[in-house]
Amino acid sequence: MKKIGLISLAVALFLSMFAMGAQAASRTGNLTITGSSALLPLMLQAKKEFNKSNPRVKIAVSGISSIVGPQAVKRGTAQIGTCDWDASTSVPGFKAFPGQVAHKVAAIPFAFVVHKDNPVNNITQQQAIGIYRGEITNWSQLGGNNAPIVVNNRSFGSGTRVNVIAKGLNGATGLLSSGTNYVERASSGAMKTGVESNVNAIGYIDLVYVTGNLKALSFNGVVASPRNVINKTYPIWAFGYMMTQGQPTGTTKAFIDYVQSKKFQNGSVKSLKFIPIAAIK
Amino acid sequence: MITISKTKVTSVVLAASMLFSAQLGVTSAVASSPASISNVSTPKAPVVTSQTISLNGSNTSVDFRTQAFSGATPANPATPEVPRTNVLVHRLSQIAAAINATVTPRPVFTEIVRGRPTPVKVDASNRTFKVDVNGNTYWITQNSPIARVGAASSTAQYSALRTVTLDRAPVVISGNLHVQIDNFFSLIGGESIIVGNTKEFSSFKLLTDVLDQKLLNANTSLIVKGTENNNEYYTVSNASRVATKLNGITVDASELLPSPDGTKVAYLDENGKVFVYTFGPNGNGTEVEVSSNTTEKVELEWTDNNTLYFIMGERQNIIARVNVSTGTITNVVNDNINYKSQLNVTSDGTKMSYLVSVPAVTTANTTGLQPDSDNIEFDVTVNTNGTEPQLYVFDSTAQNPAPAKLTSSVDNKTFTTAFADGTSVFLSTDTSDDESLPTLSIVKGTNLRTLVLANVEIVNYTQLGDKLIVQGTYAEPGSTVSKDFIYEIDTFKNRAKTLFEIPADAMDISIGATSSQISYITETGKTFVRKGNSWFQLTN
Repeated sequence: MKKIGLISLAVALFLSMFAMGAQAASRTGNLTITGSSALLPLMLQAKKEFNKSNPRVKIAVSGISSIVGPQAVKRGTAQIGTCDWDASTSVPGFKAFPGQVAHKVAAIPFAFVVHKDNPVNNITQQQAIGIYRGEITNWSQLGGNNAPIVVNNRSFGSGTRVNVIAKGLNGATGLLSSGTNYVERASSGAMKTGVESNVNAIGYIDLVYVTGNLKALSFNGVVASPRNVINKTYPIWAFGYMMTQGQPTGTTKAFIDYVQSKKFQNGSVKSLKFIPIAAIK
Repeated sequence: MITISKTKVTSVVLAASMLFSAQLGVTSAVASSPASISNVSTPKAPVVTSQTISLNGSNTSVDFRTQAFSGATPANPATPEVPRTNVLVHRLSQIAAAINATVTPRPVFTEIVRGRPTPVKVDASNRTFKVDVNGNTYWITQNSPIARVGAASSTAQYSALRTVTLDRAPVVISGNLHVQIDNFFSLIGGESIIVGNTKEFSSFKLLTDVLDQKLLNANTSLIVKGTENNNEYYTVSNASRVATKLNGITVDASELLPSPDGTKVAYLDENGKVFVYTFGPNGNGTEVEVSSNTTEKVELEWTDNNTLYFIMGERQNIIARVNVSTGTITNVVNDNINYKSQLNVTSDGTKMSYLVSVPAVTTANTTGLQPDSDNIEFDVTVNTNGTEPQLYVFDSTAQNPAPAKLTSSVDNKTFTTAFADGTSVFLSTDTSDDESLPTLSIVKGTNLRTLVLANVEIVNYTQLGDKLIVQGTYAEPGSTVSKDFIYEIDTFKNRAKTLFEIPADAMDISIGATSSQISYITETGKTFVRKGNSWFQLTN
């Protein structure tokens, strides 16, 4: 009998005394998922939907930073590590995690973001590089208010950071790492909070977080949207991955299969502003 | 000599095995070897036999014969006929009547000959039949495997039509054109459907790649079809499978939610705006943007035909409703508690239940982590304590309405249902014990009771009035054999009854006005609706 904390167990009604003797047929067990905060909204939604057909699987989802995903899998802390790059191969800044297998989740559009009251609506790649190098320091240099630019960056280990530097800043080096108007954010949630609470801030984040007081800037005149990623006019995006130690089995495999299913890809992946794997040609 | 029995086949639906064996050779139901027929178009000793075949969803009695064809494929009457194959052929006029096709025997064109309108045979042999079905025209010719596709009003146009080679040529038996039924349905763009051990035929291709299905009413289902780009939406006749595409839906929604009266559907666009589409004739309905509010919304739910409830906010912390007529959004629960889900509201909107669960907390110390480290090492811990979903209820009729947390247990909870008397139900699973079966937890105020379905693993449930329609897997104690059923549970009277058996891959059950109106979708996207005493396949 389960323990129910706040309520009393008045009646335990058994339609049969043999109820507990039946063989459990569906998937069971615990599944822990951690890593990319960019993929956190998608993983939370997948958990809800997967549990509708698999009520006996207990799923714990969290998100902090991409590098944590494969590391948690390596340590055995999580069965699935989410990461904004394929951690089974080396990418700039990070060596491969041997023995891990990458499973695509969706394509993630990223955007440079500002407070919604910031009058600037567009940023060019050169302007973005200038800002993150500390060479452009005032919004008036972008046609905005005469106010200092507060640069928000993600901490080292962030997959969003890896992809925005590679595609938004064209792999630029010599970027800011400290300063009066420079802040590093540990997660997408912290980035959102930081930028939407400061009208002079700039940062970057994946599109699903662009709500409330956050505004996505067009990049080189192209609106940040799934549609423009698919038609190849908007370049700042990457595939997100679920990492496993070796090939997944059992409940872990079933969860990954669900995330990659047509139902989830054409459903929640789209509605949460991610891009289905198959849409990227 | 072939011996054809006078066995009258009376099965409700033509057994697939029978058709298959007919493809391969003599069907044991109607003939026995040895076989020897010298003229394919005039078999000896014709005997009228008929089968009941499902054509476009209707059981139809169709005469058939066993016909010997050349073993060569495609059959060609002009070539030697050794070895022969016996194949079932069915009477075209009866098939045509069942699928609203028109068959015109030996049509003629009116052409100008020597300056005067003159009847001209379609082909010189005058053995051609014109078939009009689904707005298209097909031409088939007695004893010829060559069929033509398209409209024609002259011999020149006819000769230029696209040709299709049939596996088996149509034959005339006792003055009636007979066709190999698979060949015919393939020619006209239809298909055969295998359901269990039976084979049915449709004069059109069934919808495929279905993502979601719901019953609109007893006669119609709502289908969302996934495509490479945007989704498509259809209503489908539960009787004939005829699909009508819904025009005018501009939003790429993955789920359409029918209103209680089935006259409209609600959905969200990718920006979180609420839309309502009112059905119109021939699929031409009207889409209205109900609200331009772009705050993220999930789990739309109708209460009456003018009110939608939903969970709102990036962190899903607000329960709100929108008046569909005015677009006014009202926050109902805004308590800064994040990650609400599984919202269920009574039809009068006064009571609701929902779950709240929080993400796990990951701690990782990446300080000092250097780019391109050969051996990345840092500690990662994931704290899952307190992440279990908990039941909350809200009663707007209370003296001081406020959300109430009713559980703090560690069981897994899925689905919630709110009843008008203040009772809430959720599905509870003890995930610490793999052998533990999910139970229905019924909560009212501070009282909780647990309802266990004997030997049944409850997978999910949905509400129908004051009852629950439960999908579960039944297995005898100790048995590895299980079957899936749909049950009707009266949680107030503690009664359960078995409604229907369903396949193991069934999921996402949809209920109409009564428990006899029920449909489901399989893991592979096929949808079925209850029709009489069996499941009727709607999509492929």
